[in-house]
Order: sequence, then structure tokens, then C-alpha cells
Amino acid sequence: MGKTADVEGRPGYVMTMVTREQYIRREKAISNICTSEALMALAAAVYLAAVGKGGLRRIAELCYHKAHYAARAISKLKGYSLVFDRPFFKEFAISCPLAPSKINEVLLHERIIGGLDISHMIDYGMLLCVTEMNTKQEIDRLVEILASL
Amino acid sequence: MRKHDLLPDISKPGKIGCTLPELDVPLAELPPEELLRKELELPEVSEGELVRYFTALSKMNYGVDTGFYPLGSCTMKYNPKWHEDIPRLPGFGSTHPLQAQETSIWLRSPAWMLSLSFPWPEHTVSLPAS
Repeated sequence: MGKTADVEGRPGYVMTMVTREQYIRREKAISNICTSEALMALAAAVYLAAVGKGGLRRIAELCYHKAHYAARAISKLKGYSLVFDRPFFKEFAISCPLAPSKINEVLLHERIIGGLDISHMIDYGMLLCVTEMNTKQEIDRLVEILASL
Repeated sequence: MRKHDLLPDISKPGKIGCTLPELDVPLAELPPEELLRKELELPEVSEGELVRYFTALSKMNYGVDTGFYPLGSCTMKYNPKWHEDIPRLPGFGSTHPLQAQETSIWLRSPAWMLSLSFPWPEHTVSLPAS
């Protein structure tokens, strides 16, 4: 977006370097069927403005601390370990004592959608993700069920 | 707020427009400084300011809610409003594209599709629970 001023000096905003036919020669446009991303962009803009610079950092920290709490607890369980030792944000790969597909079956029975089965890349590998949406109680329950397998 | 103020113009340090979840786990050691971003260029506004800002913007807009809106090209038109309702249904909006098929197969079931209530009474269809 570009910022400019009108003849009375009031600020105005314009799309610049947008060469789509829908903008520059609408009367001759021939491709008029596709989707509008504007609503999603608006929703993202409202979200970012609602959380602000401090809030987004706080949310990132919540993701980080909760994911690390889960990773630490799972890696202490017998048969489970973290696959990598590099810094991570909110996703981490674990190696499980049995096939991830079997684990996910049990988890699903407990009404938990388990991690992504990555055993085609890492033996008995599962990719888990923890965000600010997950509570300590939920993480503890997951760890408890994994421990019981 | 003046008419042409943008969110960064009314931003005040420390303000926030929502309530964040509590930190309910012990702190973990953060990654090395060089991996962390220092500052984000985002405004800090209260919830009231945010709502008023976007409501004021919406009043400057011309659309199907405010007047006759003939055919437009792709980025000038929106889908029917109820298309926005369906993805927000509980259990639908939070479905992950990679989650196991058996946990999402119901999304493609005709019974579920038919059980959606459409805004036109004559199109409201439901099937008895089996």
C-alpha cells in the first residue's frame, strides 16, 4: 500500500505496483472468478492489533514455555526421547517406544488427537505441537496416558 | 481519535486489546538472544479503541450491506455470508488438515452436510439421529 495526499492535503491510501487486470483495466478483465483473501487479511490485522506488540510476544512465550514443559515431561518417560537437541519453538519430534499409529489409536480413544506420525522419516517418530491454547492440565493428561502405554 | 488516525497514531505503550491465557507451567530457558526478534512493529490499543477503529472503517466502506452492489471482479466481492458461518462451526474451524482421517471423516458425510441449517427456511434440512 502506498500513502499519498489528495488536493486538499488529506491522507489517502492507494495500491501501488498492482498490475492485475482487475485493478488497472477492469473493463477488459476476463478472469473474474477466484477467491477473496481480503477477509482473512482483515481478520489477521484485527488479531495482530488486538494482541499488539507485547501480546504477540507473550503468546509466543506461552507457546514456548508450554511446549518445553511438555517436551521435558515426555522425554522423562521410559521409552520416549526427544529426537533433536537444537532450540525449538512450539513443535518437537519425539521417539516413541511403540508405533505412533498405535499410540494415536489409544489417544483417540481418550479423546485426544495425537501427534503427527513421522515414522516414515524417523523410527517411531511423532511430531507434537503445543501452543498457548493448551493448558497444563491437558499436557499432564497427555503425559499420563503416554506413560501408561 | 481524529478521522484519519491510524492504529499506530493512537497506540500507547502497554495497552492491549484482549485477555491472554495464563502461564500455568514453569518457565523454560529461552533460546540464545540472536535467535530472538527484539521488537515487533505492532500497535498497542485497548479493545474499545480497536472496535471503534474498525467499526469506523466499516462505515467508510461501500458494500452489499449499504447499497446496490453489482458484479465485481475477484477481490471486489465476497462469498455468501453463510459461507463464513460454516468454517466457524464448533469442531470444524479447529480441524487440522493433517489430523487422522478417522477423526475428520464426518466432515464429508452427507448426513452432516444436510444437518447444517441454511438461512433460508425452505432449505433447512435435517436427518434424524441414527
